[in-house]
Amino acid sequence: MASSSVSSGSGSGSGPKSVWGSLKSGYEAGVPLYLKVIDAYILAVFMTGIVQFAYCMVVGTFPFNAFLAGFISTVGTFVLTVSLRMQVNPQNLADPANSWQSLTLGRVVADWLFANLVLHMTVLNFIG
Amino acid sequence: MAGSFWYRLQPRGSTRWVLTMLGMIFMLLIVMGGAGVVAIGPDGRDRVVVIVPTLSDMQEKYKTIQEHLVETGYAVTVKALDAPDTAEILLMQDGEYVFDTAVSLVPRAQNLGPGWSAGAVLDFVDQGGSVFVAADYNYGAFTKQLAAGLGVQLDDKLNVVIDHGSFDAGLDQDGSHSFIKAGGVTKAKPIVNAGSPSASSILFKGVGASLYTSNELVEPVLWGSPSAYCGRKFESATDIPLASGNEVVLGAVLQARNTGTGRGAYIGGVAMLQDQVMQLAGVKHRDFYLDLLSWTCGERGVLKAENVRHWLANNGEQRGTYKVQDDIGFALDVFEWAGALGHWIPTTPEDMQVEFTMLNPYIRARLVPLVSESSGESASMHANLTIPDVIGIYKFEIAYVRTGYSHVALMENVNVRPFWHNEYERFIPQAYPYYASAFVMMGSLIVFTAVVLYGKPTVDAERQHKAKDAR
Repeated sequence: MASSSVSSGSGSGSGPKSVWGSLKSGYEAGVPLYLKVIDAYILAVFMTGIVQFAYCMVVGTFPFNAFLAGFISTVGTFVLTVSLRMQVNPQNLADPANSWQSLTLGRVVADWLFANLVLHMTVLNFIG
Repeated sequence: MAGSFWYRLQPRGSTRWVLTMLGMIFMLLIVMGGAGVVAIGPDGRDRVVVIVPTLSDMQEKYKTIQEHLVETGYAVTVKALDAPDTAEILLMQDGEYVFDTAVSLVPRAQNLGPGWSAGAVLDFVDQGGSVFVAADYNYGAFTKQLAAGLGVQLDDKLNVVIDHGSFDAGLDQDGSHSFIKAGGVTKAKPIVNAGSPSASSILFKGVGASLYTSNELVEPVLWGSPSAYCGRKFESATDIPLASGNEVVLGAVLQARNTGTGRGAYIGGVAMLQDQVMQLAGVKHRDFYLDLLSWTCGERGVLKAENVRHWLANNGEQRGTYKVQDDIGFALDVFEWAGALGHWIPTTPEDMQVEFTMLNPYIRARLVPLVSESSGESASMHANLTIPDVIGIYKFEIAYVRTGYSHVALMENVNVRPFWHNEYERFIPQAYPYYASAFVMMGSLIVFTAVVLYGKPTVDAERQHKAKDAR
């Protein structure tokens, strides 16, 4: 099913709609479920950051430290989770040069959690 | 005014002191009897020495001045340069000044004897003494130097002020138009005793002058009309005169910087103070010159400021260190010496300002009277300030310099510190979205970790599978 949608997308010629369609079908077919879960989380974090920025534009910068803390927590989580996704993405492991990344999932998640601990201690200090 | 009629006239040798003591006792009795109000200079400064060329001059020419001083309550000593006894009267004895005010009516004198050099008299002003100096067209070295020390540059000797447009026809007998009407007079209230004399009723005959621009303490009080100029009588003016028009200074005052009472007054024509002119020229002329004399003695315009205080607006507590953006109050008490009453009275100038300064003034605020609830009147001048948002060492500064008033110069240091870490606002309502975001991020970590590690199908299994595929 997935392969047919890819072929139909590429066969319908050029144009933004067909590009978007091939992109979508390629993502749906080629990306495993657990990476999709991570992507959904990243997207949610990203949207939280956007919402905070928009709120700050509306009400002003007054508790600037609180804004910075909230915004940095989303940006930091975003960056760290993207790193996590890079480490667990099997495509990255295909290259022999990246073989050092073949860590166990537990190790990868532990690294990610530790980095998040440091990040959120900073955030809590900053939030006032 | 009926009482306190004593002064030391013509003291001779050792009897001088006996006379002095008798006079003091006599005066004390009169004052204790409540016979009259005694008006004198600040804090009992009532010792005046009048310097005249000859003893007879005092009785014949300066009776108006003498009676004015004595009736006002001053202890008047006469130093006549021709009488051996009085000529020896010193300005300073045993390291202390014997007088509070010196009135020099000897424009022609080259020197006044030991201890009376122009420099010594200027030192006297620096130490809080007052000096009234009268010049004339034929002035001597002493008067020239003393006037120069007070910031007044005299015209060349024998020059006078001539005004063909504004002279007193009755008194100008020789037709030289040198007995002139003044063109302008100061508006400073303490000097003109709160009156507003018209300049043309004040007459003048004497030497012209200009003020040294380098002396910032001297101010003109009487000046010429636009047609006045400095020149020689009956000669055409061929050279550029020292001054002309309103720039011709006929009288000037100097308020010393250091003390409230240190004052100098200058008048270019000694004849204006003599009885004959005083009577002929009218009461306004007379009042102006007598007011100038009593101002010199310190009867009016001597200010004193004390009890500087500042406090935190919300609890009234005075501190040496305030926080940025604190609301504070500042106040001080200002008094003016009331010569007519003989004590300090509260005063509230309209134009007094306080500056909150760190290198440059961050705040300049007008001081307004602080009305006390109990008495309804107060000497306190008060301002509400908000500390600027810049930390550092500041000073409250008051620099009140007005013509006719003694200077008020005060400084008080305070520190301004930043907010302490625990003094910032917390749990601000509009910051709650940020708080929520941060805690949602932290909560989502736990959920996400659980999903990744224990979700079905487990991420790990799928990952291993895919990794095999990729190889």
